[in-house]
Amino acid sequence: MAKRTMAVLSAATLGAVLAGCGAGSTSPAGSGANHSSPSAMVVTWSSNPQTIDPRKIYDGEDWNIGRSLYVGLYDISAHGQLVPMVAKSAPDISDHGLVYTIHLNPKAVWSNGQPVTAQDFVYALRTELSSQFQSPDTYLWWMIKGASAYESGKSAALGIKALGAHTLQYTLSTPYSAFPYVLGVPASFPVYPGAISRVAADPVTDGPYVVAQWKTGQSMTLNQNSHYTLEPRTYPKHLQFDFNVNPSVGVLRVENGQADLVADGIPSANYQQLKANSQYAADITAGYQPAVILLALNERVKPFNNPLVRQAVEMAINKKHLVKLMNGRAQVANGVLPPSLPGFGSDIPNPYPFSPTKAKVLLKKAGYPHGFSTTLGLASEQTGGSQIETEVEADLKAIGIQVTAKPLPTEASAQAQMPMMTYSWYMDYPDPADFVSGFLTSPAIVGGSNPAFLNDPKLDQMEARASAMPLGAARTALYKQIDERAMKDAAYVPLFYPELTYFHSSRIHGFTYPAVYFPAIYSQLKISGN
Amino acid sequence: MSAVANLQQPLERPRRNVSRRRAYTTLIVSGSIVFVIVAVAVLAPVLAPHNPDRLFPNGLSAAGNPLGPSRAFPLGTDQFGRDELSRLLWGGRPALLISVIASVFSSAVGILLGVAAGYLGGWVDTLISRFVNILMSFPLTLFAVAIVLIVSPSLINLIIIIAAIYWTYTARLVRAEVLTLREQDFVSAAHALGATPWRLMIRHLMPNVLDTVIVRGVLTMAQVFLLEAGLSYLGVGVQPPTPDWGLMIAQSQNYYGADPGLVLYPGIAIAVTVIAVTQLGQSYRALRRRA
Repeated sequence: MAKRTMAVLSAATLGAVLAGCGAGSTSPAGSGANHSSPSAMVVTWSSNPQTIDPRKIYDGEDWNIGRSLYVGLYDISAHGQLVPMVAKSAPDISDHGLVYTIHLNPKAVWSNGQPVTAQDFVYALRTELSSQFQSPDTYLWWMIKGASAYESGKSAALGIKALGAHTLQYTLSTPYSAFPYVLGVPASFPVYPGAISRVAADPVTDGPYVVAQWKTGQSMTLNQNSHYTLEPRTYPKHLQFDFNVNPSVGVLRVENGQADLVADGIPSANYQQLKANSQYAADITAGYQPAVILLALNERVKPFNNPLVRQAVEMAINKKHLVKLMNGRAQVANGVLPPSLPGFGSDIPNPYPFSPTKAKVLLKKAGYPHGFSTTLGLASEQTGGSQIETEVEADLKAIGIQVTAKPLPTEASAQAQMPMMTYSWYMDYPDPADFVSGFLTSPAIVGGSNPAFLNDPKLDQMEARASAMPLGAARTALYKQIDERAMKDAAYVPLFYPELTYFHSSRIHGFTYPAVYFPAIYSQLKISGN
Repeated sequence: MSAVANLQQPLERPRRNVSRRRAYTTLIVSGSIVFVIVAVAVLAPVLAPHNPDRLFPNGLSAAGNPLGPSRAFPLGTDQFGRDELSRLLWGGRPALLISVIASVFSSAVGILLGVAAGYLGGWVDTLISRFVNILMSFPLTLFAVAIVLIVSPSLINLIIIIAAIYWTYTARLVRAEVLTLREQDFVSAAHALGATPWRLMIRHLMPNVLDTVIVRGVLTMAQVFLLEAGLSYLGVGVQPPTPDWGLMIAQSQNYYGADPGLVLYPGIAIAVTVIAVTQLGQSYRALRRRA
């Protein structure tokens, strides 16, 4: 999943200055004395939720808010295992891995007291895949039988049906061993049948919380769902999200006891000061995000259609320095699969070690002895002199490539057909197929999530074979080969695997970093004295 | 004349001399400061110890923080490991370039349209004055931001946009002065001798409003300098990685607590430049009035 929210920050508000002034404070991080409601966990976020309809949840804090409101058939644990939620147990798989039958837990109920039924899942998926609904998550369901024809309106048949109130069946068009993981992402969650506008604003939910109040652009308050009885239990009685809060201001608010968590992570400017303050040692939590940040080089556009030019760019970027710019809160990436995934090639030698001299030679060989000028598409949060923009511009200038940065609206990023653009892929589910089918294959070009337009039929075949193989060593080895092959093509320059560092109040406990996408599961955090 | 007034008479000349001397001193001091700032900006490629865009591998601490002052980096480094002094020396160039060119253009357009409106009157005056009023009714910074966002930020676009805004101030001032001048004898005399309106405006009126335009132009430079810094601070002015004082403040503001110099150095540079240019314009005006 391409995500727009990163720990790379380019804020420009006076609040940031104020945060700097307050950073010398030595008081413990938010003991809770100033909280308007001691039982509420207050989370600040620099942006706004795009939606709380699970069928459209794609990235950012939407994901975490969605997970607080809804539960699906399965959840994905911190160790990447499937945990039955609305499903009673693991799916029954038959017909050579094409049919998945799942029995629902009768304890799962909606916030209005009605039981969650198999029909609710059928309704959710049918509306999500309908062309009128325009969900950004349809790419997750490519393996469902009839999905493509259904999406384009050519057929009403879709590989999902209710075999009774509490029995659900999915039929795939091709074996896909990671399919159970797909049933753990928000886009697979059920929806209480009703008007779309109601689901978008004041939904009936089946998760730990219900929406108590939503002031668009300002805040959202969630209360515990009294009908929710599934395990694990929910801890904070209320969740309060404060939107459009600059991350540095968020840090200041946590220090002053007015908030519990900065959802964006700690900005670089605040990081060292907080780290240096021993009072906050227990209030800083760090973990690698299951994601990769890349530079996409468009193979359809000159001069990046020349492999030598792409290789020159690969060798020109000083990834180590880029990581240093981020206070070391990232890991240099030499492949597309992040370290937490099977297939991660820590033992594979980097085919393009940093060498501006060799990069210049490659450019000369490609017919560009004096370099060239090009445009770098940037997601909005990476503009204004972000670490990535600054490093890429400076490194490419050193080999003669003049770069002009151009901000891109994220939704259109992959379709923008820029000669070069920054790109990121955050894990939807803990399987290499999510990354490879997500943005390395030719179907991803059609789906608009392959901005380098990497089109390698051999790689497509390898992916088709790997995704159908049972989970295990052979499959992992094949994904490793796919990663190596993609690297040789040099359509993507993997820059780094990001780390997210949270700063939270001292009254928050139980922080864990789950295996997928954004780390915080708010319902599982404990508040002292509650 | 009363006795008291007679007693005051001898005292006025020395006071006038004192204020004239003060204005002259201000002119010299502010002029020298402006000269130094312009010289530094022009000679930045020679004076700067390093390439301002270069990211030094040794320009950050082991933890990835900016470095303090050292022999290699006299003012330390910024958050990207670039030499702060070099960026500071280069950072005045875009704003100075924009303010000088935009001021010259806006003055040229302002004097032409202001003289035309003031002398020709009638529908020409109505058209120009209404247009000036409309343009001046927009909040200046917001108007500039809106246009830059439409046409995309670049040096040339900034110059055009700023000049297109600031000519109105000069035009209004010149029009008011021409309305007074056109009633004077030398204009009537020139008219009686058969001077065409065009010749009258160019040869007789424009030279007489030149002082006003010069003062206005210098003060406009200071205002444009501030506007450019503000636009760059907001991210719609000069684009990274070009060194620019406003942009440097914007990029480093989160480091105010950790490394205040990153914000203070460009901030002081902007303040000193704007004060010096403003004082230059005002002292020149004071001297011309007293001449």
